[in-house]
Amino acid sequence: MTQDLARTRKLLSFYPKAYREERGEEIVSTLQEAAEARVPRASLSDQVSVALYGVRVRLGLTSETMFGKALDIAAIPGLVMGAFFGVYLLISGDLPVVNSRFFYPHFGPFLTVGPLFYLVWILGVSAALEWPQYRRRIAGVCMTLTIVGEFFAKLAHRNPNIWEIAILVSLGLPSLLAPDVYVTRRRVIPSLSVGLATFATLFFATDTRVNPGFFNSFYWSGTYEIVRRQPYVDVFLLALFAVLWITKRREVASAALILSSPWIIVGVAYPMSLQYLQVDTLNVFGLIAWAVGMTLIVTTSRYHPRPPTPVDLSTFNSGP
Amino acid sequence: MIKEMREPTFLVLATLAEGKKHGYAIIQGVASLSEGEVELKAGTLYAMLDRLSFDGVIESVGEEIVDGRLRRYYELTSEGTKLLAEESKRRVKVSNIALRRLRFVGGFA
Repeated sequence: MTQDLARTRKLLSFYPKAYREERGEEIVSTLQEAAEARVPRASLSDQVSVALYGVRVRLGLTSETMFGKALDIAAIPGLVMGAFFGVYLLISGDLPVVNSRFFYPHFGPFLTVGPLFYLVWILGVSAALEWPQYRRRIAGVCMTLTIVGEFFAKLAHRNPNIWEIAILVSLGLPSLLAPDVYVTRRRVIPSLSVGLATFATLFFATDTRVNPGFFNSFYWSGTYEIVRRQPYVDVFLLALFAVLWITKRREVASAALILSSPWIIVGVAYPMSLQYLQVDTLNVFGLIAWAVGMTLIVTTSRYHPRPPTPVDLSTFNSGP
Repeated sequence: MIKEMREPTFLVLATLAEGKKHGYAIIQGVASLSEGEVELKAGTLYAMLDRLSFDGVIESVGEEIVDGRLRRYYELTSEGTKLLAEESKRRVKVSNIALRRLRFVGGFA
Protein backbone atom coordinates (compact mmCIF):
# COMPACT_ATOMS: atom_id res chain seq x y z
CA MET A 1 0.00 0.00 0.00
CA THR A 2 1.50 3.38 -1.00
CA GLN A 3 1.79 6.22 1.49
CA ASP A 4 -0.84 8.25 -0.38
CA LEU A 5 -3.31 5.39 -0.34
CA ALA A 6 -2.73 4.83 3.38
CA ARG A 7 -3.30 8.53 4.05
CA THR A 8 -6.47 8.51 1.96
CA ARG A 9 -7.78 5.47 3.82
CA LYS A 10 -7.15 7.23 7.12
CA LEU A 11 -9.76 9.81 6.11
CA LEU A 12 -12.37 7.09 6.37
CA SER A 13 -11.94 7.04 10.14
CA PHE A 14 -14.07 10.20 10.19
CA TYR A 15 -17.04 8.06 9.07
CA PRO A 16 -19.06 5.64 11.21
CA LYS A 17 -18.08 2.00 10.77
CA ALA A 18 -21.31 1.06 8.95
CA TYR A 19 -20.82 3.84 6.41
CA ARG A 20 -17.15 2.93 5.97
CA GLU A 21 -18.05 -0.64 5.18
CA GLU A 22 -20.73 0.42 2.70
CA ARG A 23 -19.00 3.28 0.87
CA GLY A 24 -15.38 3.42 2.04
CA GLU A 25 -13.68 1.69 -0.90
CA GLU A 26 -15.73 3.69 -3.38
CA ILE A 27 -14.74 7.01 -1.77
CA VAL A 28 -11.06 6.03 -1.67
CA SER A 29 -11.17 5.14 -5.37
CA THR A 30 -12.80 8.46 -6.28
CA LEU A 31 -10.23 10.35 -4.22
CA GLN A 32 -7.39 8.50 -5.92
CA GLU A 33 -8.76 9.18 -9.39
CA ALA A 34 -9.27 12.83 -8.50
CA ALA A 35 -5.77 13.09 -7.00
CA GLU A 36 -4.21 11.76 -10.22
CA ALA A 37 -6.05 14.30 -12.33
CA ARG A 38 -5.94 17.40 -10.18
CA VAL A 39 -3.27 19.76 -8.92
CA PRO A 40 -2.08 18.98 -5.35
CA ARG A 41 -4.04 21.86 -3.80
CA ALA A 42 -7.33 20.68 -5.35
CA SER A 43 -6.56 17.17 -4.18
CA LEU A 44 -6.09 18.45 -0.62
CA SER A 45 -9.45 20.26 -0.68
CA ASP A 46 -11.01 16.99 -1.93
CA GLN A 47 -9.60 15.24 1.14
CA VAL A 48 -10.81 17.98 3.48
CA SER A 49 -14.31 17.81 2.00
CA VAL A 50 -14.36 14.01 2.47
CA ALA A 51 -13.26 14.40 6.10
CA LEU A 52 -15.89 17.09 6.77
CA TYR A 53 -18.64 14.98 5.24
CA GLY A 54 -17.46 12.11 7.45
CA VAL A 55 -17.96 14.29 10.51
CA ARG A 56 -21.44 15.20 9.26
CA VAL A 57 -22.38 11.54 8.75
CA ARG A 58 -21.02 10.65 12.17
CA LEU A 59 -23.00 13.44 13.87
CA GLY A 60 -26.15 12.70 11.87
CA LEU A 61 -26.03 16.13 10.21
CA THR A 62 -26.98 14.99 6.72
CA SER A 63 -30.13 15.86 4.81
CA GLU A 64 -31.50 12.31 5.22
CA THR A 65 -31.58 12.29 9.03
CA MET A 66 -34.11 13.82 11.39
CA PHE A 67 -31.39 16.05 12.90
CA GLY A 68 -30.42 17.31 9.45
CA LYS A 69 -34.04 17.88 8.39
CA ALA A 70 -34.79 19.66 11.68
CA LEU A 71 -31.75 21.93 11.23
CA ASP A 72 -32.92 22.71 7.71
CA ILE A 73 -36.38 23.66 9.05
CA ALA A 74 -34.87 25.70 11.92
CA ALA A 75 -32.23 27.50 9.82
CA ILE A 76 -34.04 30.56 8.45
CA PRO A 77 -36.50 30.87 11.40
CA GLY A 78 -33.44 30.84 13.70
CA LEU A 79 -31.92 33.81 11.89
CA VAL A 80 -35.26 35.64 11.94
CA MET A 81 -35.62 34.86 15.66
CA GLY A 82 -32.17 36.40 16.17
CA ALA A 83 -33.13 39.57 14.29
CA PHE A 84 -36.36 39.96 16.29
CA PHE A 85 -34.42 39.35 19.50
CA GLY A 86 -32.13 42.18 18.41
CA VAL A 87 -35.14 44.43 17.81
CA TYR A 88 -36.44 43.51 21.27
CA LEU A 89 -33.08 44.36 22.90
CA LEU A 90 -33.01 47.64 21.01
CA ILE A 91 -36.54 48.64 22.04
CA SER A 92 -36.31 47.37 25.60
CA GLY A 93 -32.68 47.89 26.44
CA ASP A 94 -31.06 50.53 24.27
CA LEU A 95 -33.71 53.10 23.33
CA PRO A 96 -34.98 53.74 26.90
CA VAL A 97 -31.48 54.69 28.06
CA VAL A 98 -30.86 57.13 25.18
CA ASN A 99 -32.47 60.01 27.08
CA SER A 100 -31.89 58.58 30.53
CA ARG A 101 -30.37 60.76 33.26
CA PHE A 102 -28.79 57.70 34.88
CA PHE A 103 -26.79 56.28 31.98
CA TYR A 104 -23.89 57.84 30.16
CA PRO A 105 -23.81 56.94 26.44
CA HIS A 106 -20.69 55.11 25.29
CA PHE A 107 -21.50 54.50 21.64
CA GLY A 108 -23.25 57.40 19.89
CA PRO A 109 -26.52 57.89 21.75
CA PHE A 110 -26.42 54.29 22.99
CA LEU A 111 -24.93 52.62 26.01
CA THR A 112 -23.31 49.80 23.99
CA VAL A 113 -22.45 48.81 20.42
CA GLY A 114 -25.44 46.39 20.54
CA PRO A 115 -27.58 48.35 18.01
CA LEU A 116 -24.84 47.82 15.44
CA PHE A 117 -25.03 44.03 15.96
CA TYR A 118 -28.83 44.08 15.69
CA LEU A 119 -28.58 46.01 12.43
CA VAL A 120 -26.18 43.38 11.07
CA TRP A 121 -28.70 40.64 11.93
CA ILE A 122 -31.63 42.52 10.40
CA LEU A 123 -29.66 43.00 7.18
CA GLY A 124 -28.52 39.36 7.32
CA VAL A 125 -32.07 38.10 7.71
CA SER A 126 -33.28 40.26 4.81
CA ALA A 127 -30.54 38.69 2.68
CA ALA A 128 -31.32 35.15 3.91
CA LEU A 129 -35.02 35.54 3.11
CA GLU A 130 -34.14 36.75 -0.38
CA TRP A 131 -31.36 34.23 -1.06
CA PRO A 132 -31.97 31.26 1.27
CA GLN A 133 -29.41 29.18 -0.62
CA TYR A 134 -26.69 31.39 0.93
CA ARG A 135 -28.00 31.03 4.47
CA ARG A 136 -24.82 29.34 5.72
CA ARG A 137 -22.55 32.14 4.54
CA ILE A 138 -24.95 34.81 5.76
CA ALA A 139 -25.18 33.19 9.21
CA GLY A 140 -21.39 32.86 9.29
CA VAL A 141 -20.94 36.57 8.53
CA CYS A 142 -23.54 37.67 11.14
CA MET A 143 -22.08 35.38 13.81
CA THR A 144 -18.46 36.33 13.11
CA LEU A 145 -19.16 40.08 13.09
CA THR A 146 -21.11 39.76 16.35
CA ILE A 147 -18.44 37.68 18.13
CA VAL A 148 -15.54 39.84 16.93
CA GLY A 149 -17.50 43.02 17.67
CA GLU A 150 -18.38 41.81 21.16
CA PHE A 151 -14.74 40.96 21.84
CA PHE A 152 -13.43 44.40 20.85
CA ALA A 153 -16.36 46.24 22.46
CA LYS A 154 -15.66 44.41 25.71
CA LEU A 155 -12.11 45.77 25.73
CA ALA A 156 -13.60 49.27 25.64
CA HIS A 157 -16.48 48.44 28.03
CA ARG A 158 -19.06 49.15 25.34
CA ASN A 159 -20.32 45.60 24.91
CA PRO A 160 -23.86 44.29 25.38
CA ASN A 161 -24.29 41.59 28.01
CA ILE A 162 -22.34 38.54 26.87
CA TRP A 163 -25.22 36.11 27.61
CA GLU A 164 -27.60 38.01 25.35
CA ILE A 165 -24.97 37.94 22.63
CA ALA A 166 -24.47 34.20 23.24
CA ILE A 167 -28.21 33.64 22.60
CA LEU A 168 -28.08 35.83 19.48
CA VAL A 169 -25.05 34.04 18.03
CA SER A 170 -26.45 30.57 18.85
CA LEU A 171 -29.53 31.33 16.77
CA GLY A 172 -27.30 31.34 13.70
CA LEU A 173 -26.00 27.84 14.39
CA PRO A 174 -28.86 25.93 12.65
CA SER A 175 -28.06 27.80 9.41
CA LEU A 176 -24.37 27.11 9.83
CA LEU A 177 -24.81 23.40 10.55
CA ALA A 178 -27.81 22.58 8.34
CA PRO A 179 -26.96 20.26 5.45
CA ASP A 180 -27.10 21.48 1.88
CA VAL A 181 -30.42 20.67 0.27
CA TYR A 182 -31.28 20.94 -3.39
CA VAL A 183 -34.39 22.99 -2.86
CA THR A 184 -33.81 25.76 -0.32
CA ARG A 185 -37.06 27.21 0.98
CA ARG A 186 -37.51 30.77 2.15
CA ARG A 187 -40.12 29.86 4.78
CA VAL A 188 -41.12 33.53 5.07
CA ILE A 189 -44.42 33.09 6.93
CA PRO A 190 -43.22 30.46 9.48
CA SER A 191 -39.99 32.41 10.03
CA LEU A 192 -41.75 35.72 10.62
CA SER A 193 -44.25 33.95 12.90
CA VAL A 194 -41.39 32.52 14.98
CA GLY A 195 -39.71 35.94 15.11
CA LEU A 196 -42.89 37.79 16.09
CA ALA A 197 -43.76 35.15 18.72
CA THR A 198 -40.27 35.54 20.21
CA PHE A 199 -40.58 39.32 20.27
CA ALA A 200 -44.10 39.25 21.75
CA THR A 201 -43.12 36.69 24.43
CA LEU A 202 -40.07 38.69 25.48
CA PHE A 203 -41.84 42.04 25.32
CA PHE A 204 -44.92 41.06 27.29
CA ALA A 205 -43.27 38.61 29.68
CA THR A 206 -40.52 40.93 30.90
CA ASP A 207 -41.23 44.08 32.89
CA THR A 208 -39.63 46.49 30.46
CA ARG A 209 -42.78 48.56 30.02
CA VAL A 210 -43.26 48.95 33.75
CA ASN A 211 -39.67 49.98 34.46
CA PRO A 212 -38.29 51.66 31.34
CA GLY A 213 -34.52 51.94 31.58
CA PHE A 214 -34.33 49.15 34.14
CA PHE A 215 -33.70 46.61 31.41
CA ASN A 216 -30.49 47.36 29.61
CA SER A 217 -28.10 45.43 27.52
CA PHE A 218 -24.94 46.39 29.41
CA TYR A 219 -25.63 45.37 32.99
CA TRP A 220 -27.01 42.10 34.35
CA SER A 221 -30.62 43.28 34.58
CA GLY A 222 -31.63 42.54 30.97
CA THR A 223 -30.52 38.93 31.00
CA TYR A 224 -31.97 38.49 34.48
CA GLU A 225 -35.35 39.70 33.20
CA ILE A 226 -35.26 37.08 30.43
CA VAL A 227 -34.08 34.24 32.67
CA ARG A 228 -36.66 35.08 35.36
CA ARG A 229 -39.52 34.22 32.98
CA GLN A 230 -37.73 31.29 31.42
CA PRO A 231 -39.62 28.52 33.33
CA TYR A 232 -42.93 29.52 31.71
CA VAL A 233 -41.32 29.54 28.29
CA ASP A 234 -39.64 26.18 28.99
CA VAL A 235 -42.95 24.59 29.93
CA PHE A 236 -44.55 25.93 26.74
CA LEU A 237 -41.66 24.86 24.49
CA LEU A 238 -41.40 21.38 25.95
CA ALA A 239 -45.18 20.90 25.75
CA LEU A 240 -45.04 22.03 22.12
CA PHE A 241 -42.23 19.57 21.45
CA ALA A 242 -44.18 16.72 23.08
CA VAL A 243 -47.39 17.48 21.15
CA LEU A 244 -45.58 17.75 17.81
CA TRP A 245 -43.57 14.58 18.52
CA ILE A 246 -46.64 12.56 19.52
CA THR A 247 -48.60 13.80 16.49
CA LYS A 248 -45.73 12.52 14.31
CA ARG A 249 -44.57 15.96 13.23
CA ARG A 250 -41.19 15.00 14.55
CA GLU A 251 -39.01 17.10 12.26
CA VAL A 252 -40.90 20.26 13.21
CA ALA A 253 -40.80 19.19 16.89
CA SER A 254 -37.03 18.75 16.64
CA ALA A 255 -36.67 22.15 14.95
CA ALA A 256 -38.64 23.75 17.81
CA LEU A 257 -36.36 22.09 20.36
CA ILE A 258 -33.25 23.21 18.47
CA LEU A 259 -34.47 26.82 18.41
CA SER A 260 -35.24 26.72 22.12
CA SER A 261 -31.72 25.46 22.97
CA PRO A 262 -29.95 28.79 23.62
CA TRP A 263 -32.79 30.08 25.81
CA ILE A 264 -33.00 26.90 27.89
CA ILE A 265 -29.21 26.64 28.32
CA VAL A 266 -28.78 30.32 29.25
CA GLY A 267 -31.70 29.94 31.69
CA VAL A 268 -29.42 27.74 33.81
CA ALA A 269 -25.92 28.82 32.78
CA TYR A 270 -26.44 32.54 33.44
CA PRO A 271 -27.49 32.28 37.12
CA MET A 272 -24.78 29.65 37.64
CA SER A 273 -22.21 32.21 36.52
CA LEU A 274 -23.30 34.59 39.28
CA GLN A 275 -22.73 33.91 42.95
CA TYR A 276 -25.68 36.00 44.15
CA LEU A 277 -28.33 34.44 41.91
CA GLN A 278 -29.93 31.07 42.58
CA VAL A 279 -30.68 28.69 39.75
CA ASP A 280 -34.43 28.19 39.33
CA THR A 281 -35.32 24.51 39.86
CA LEU A 282 -37.86 24.65 37.02
CA ASN A 283 -35.13 25.88 34.66
CA VAL A 284 -33.00 22.88 35.67
CA PHE A 285 -35.89 20.52 34.92
CA GLY A 286 -36.32 22.34 31.61
CA LEU A 287 -32.66 21.76 30.80
CA ILE A 288 -32.90 18.04 31.68
CA ALA A 289 -36.02 17.62 29.51
CA TRP A 290 -34.26 19.49 26.69
CA ALA A 291 -31.22 17.20 27.01
CA VAL A 292 -33.48 14.11 26.83
CA GLY A 293 -35.20 15.50 23.74
CA MET A 294 -31.91 16.31 22.02
CA THR A 295 -30.55 12.85 22.84
CA LEU A 296 -33.65 11.38 21.22
CA ILE A 297 -33.06 13.43 18.06
CA VAL A 298 -29.34 12.64 17.87
CA THR A 299 -29.90 8.92 18.56
CA THR A 300 -32.55 8.57 15.88
CA SER A 301 -30.25 10.38 13.45
CA ARG A 302 -27.38 7.92 13.67
CA TYR A 303 -26.29 6.36 10.41
CA HIS A 304 -28.04 3.13 9.50
CA PRO A 305 -26.79 1.17 6.52
CA ARG A 306 -29.29 0.89 3.71
CA PRO A 307 -30.33 -2.53 2.45
CA PRO A 308 -28.21 -3.36 -0.61
CA THR A 309 -29.84 -2.75 -3.97
CA PRO A 310 -29.96 -5.90 -6.07
CA VAL A 311 -27.77 -5.22 -9.10
CA ASP A 312 -26.96 -6.97 -12.31
CA LEU A 313 -23.17 -7.05 -12.59
CA SER A 314 -23.10 -8.87 -15.93
CA THR A 315 -23.20 -5.66 -17.98
CA PHE A 316 -20.22 -4.24 -16.10
CA ASN A 317 -17.97 -7.22 -15.77
CA SER A 318 -18.35 -8.70 -19.22
CA GLY A 319 -14.97 -8.02 -20.83
CA PRO A 320 -13.19 -9.55 -23.80
CA MET B 1 -41.27 29.94 -1.69
CA ILE B 2 -38.30 29.14 -3.91
CA LYS B 3 -38.68 25.91 -5.83
CA GLU B 4 -35.71 25.89 -8.15
CA MET B 5 -33.06 23.23 -7.96
CA ARG B 6 -29.56 24.32 -6.97
CA GLU B 7 -26.96 24.42 -9.72
CA PRO B 8 -24.64 21.55 -8.61
CA THR B 9 -27.60 19.18 -8.21
CA PHE B 10 -28.88 20.12 -11.65
CA LEU B 11 -25.45 19.51 -13.14
CA VAL B 12 -25.12 16.09 -11.47
CA LEU B 13 -28.54 15.02 -12.75
CA ALA B 14 -27.76 16.39 -16.20
CA THR B 15 -24.50 14.41 -16.21
CA LEU B 16 -26.36 11.23 -15.29
CA ALA B 17 -28.88 11.88 -18.09
CA GLU B 18 -26.14 10.63 -20.41
CA GLY B 19 -26.19 7.22 -18.72
CA LYS B 20 -24.78 5.46 -15.69
CA LYS B 21 -21.58 6.90 -14.26
CA HIS B 22 -19.27 6.32 -11.31
CA GLY B 23 -18.06 8.92 -8.76
CA TYR B 24 -15.13 10.45 -10.57
CA ALA B 25 -16.92 10.33 -13.94
CA ILE B 26 -19.69 12.43 -12.39
CA ILE B 27 -17.12 14.99 -11.15
CA GLN B 28 -15.66 15.15 -14.67
CA GLY B 29 -19.11 15.38 -16.25
CA VAL B 30 -20.12 18.28 -14.00
CA ALA B 31 -16.86 20.13 -14.73
CA SER B 32 -17.34 19.59 -18.46
CA LEU B 33 -21.02 20.64 -18.49
CA SER B 34 -20.28 23.79 -16.53
CA GLU B 35 -17.19 24.53 -18.64
CA GLY B 36 -14.99 24.30 -15.57
CA GLU B 37 -17.11 26.68 -13.49
CA VAL B 38 -18.29 24.03 -11.02
CA GLU B 39 -15.63 21.75 -9.60
CA LEU B 40 -17.32 19.26 -7.27
CA LYS B 41 -15.26 18.19 -4.27
CA ALA B 42 -15.36 14.49 -3.45
CA GLY B 43 -17.05 15.11 -0.08
CA THR B 44 -19.71 17.29 -1.70
CA LEU B 45 -20.27 14.64 -4.37
CA TYR B 46 -20.92 11.88 -1.81
CA ALA B 47 -23.22 14.14 0.22
CA MET B 48 -25.23 14.72 -2.96
CA LEU B 49 -25.21 11.07 -4.02
CA ASP B 50 -26.45 10.01 -0.56
CA ARG B 51 -29.19 12.63 -0.58
CA LEU B 52 -30.34 11.93 -4.14
CA SER B 53 -30.30 8.16 -3.51
CA PHE B 54 -32.29 8.62 -0.31
CA ASP B 55 -34.88 10.70 -2.18
CA GLY B 56 -35.16 8.09 -4.92
CA VAL B 57 -33.85 10.45 -7.63
CA ILE B 58 -30.83 8.29 -8.50
CA GLU B 59 -29.90 4.71 -7.72
CA SER B 60 -26.81 2.57 -7.57
CA VAL B 61 -26.87 0.12 -10.48
CA GLY B 62 -23.67 -1.84 -10.15
CA GLU B 63 -20.02 -2.05 -9.27
CA GLU B 64 -16.83 -3.03 -10.98
CA ILE B 65 -13.16 -3.20 -10.11
CA VAL B 66 -10.89 -1.21 -12.44
CA ASP B 67 -7.11 -1.21 -11.78
CA GLY B 68 -7.80 -2.53 -8.29
CA ARG B 69 -10.25 0.30 -7.55
CA LEU B 70 -13.91 -0.08 -6.80
CA ARG B 71 -16.26 1.87 -9.01
CA ARG B 72 -19.93 2.11 -8.10
CA TYR B 73 -22.24 3.27 -10.85
CA TYR B 74 -25.29 5.51 -10.51
CA GLU B 75 -28.15 6.33 -12.84
CA LEU B 76 -31.34 8.37 -12.81
CA THR B 77 -34.50 6.66 -11.60
CA SER B 78 -37.77 7.33 -13.42
CA GLU B 79 -38.56 9.89 -10.74
CA GLY B 80 -35.13 11.51 -11.26
CA THR B 81 -35.68 11.63 -15.03
CA LYS B 82 -39.02 13.35 -14.48
CA LEU B 83 -37.49 15.82 -12.00
CA LEU B 84 -34.63 16.69 -14.35
CA ALA B 85 -37.03 17.11 -17.29
CA GLU B 86 -39.25 19.47 -15.27
CA GLU B 87 -36.31 21.52 -14.03
CA SER B 88 -34.81 21.71 -17.54
CA LYS B 89 -38.13 22.91 -18.98
CA ARG B 90 -38.41 25.53 -16.25
CA ARG B 91 -34.89 26.79 -16.95
CA VAL B 92 -35.49 26.88 -20.72
CA LYS B 93 -38.73 28.80 -20.20
CA VAL B 94 -37.05 31.42 -17.98
CA SER B 95 -34.07 31.67 -20.36
CA ASN B 96 -36.35 32.14 -23.36
CA ILE B 97 -38.21 34.94 -21.63
CA ALA B 98 -34.90 36.58 -20.70
CA LEU B 99 -33.56 36.27 -24.24
CA ARG B 100 -36.78 37.67 -25.72
CA ARG B 101 -36.57 40.65 -23.40
CA LEU B 102 -32.92 41.26 -24.22
CA ARG B 103 -33.72 41.22 -27.94
CA PHE B 104 -36.56 43.63 -27.27
CA VAL B 105 -34.20 46.15 -25.66
CA GLY B 106 -31.53 45.52 -28.23
CA GLY B 107 -29.24 43.37 -26.08
CA PHE B 108 -29.09 40.50 -28.58
CA ALA B 109 -29.06 40.49 -32.35
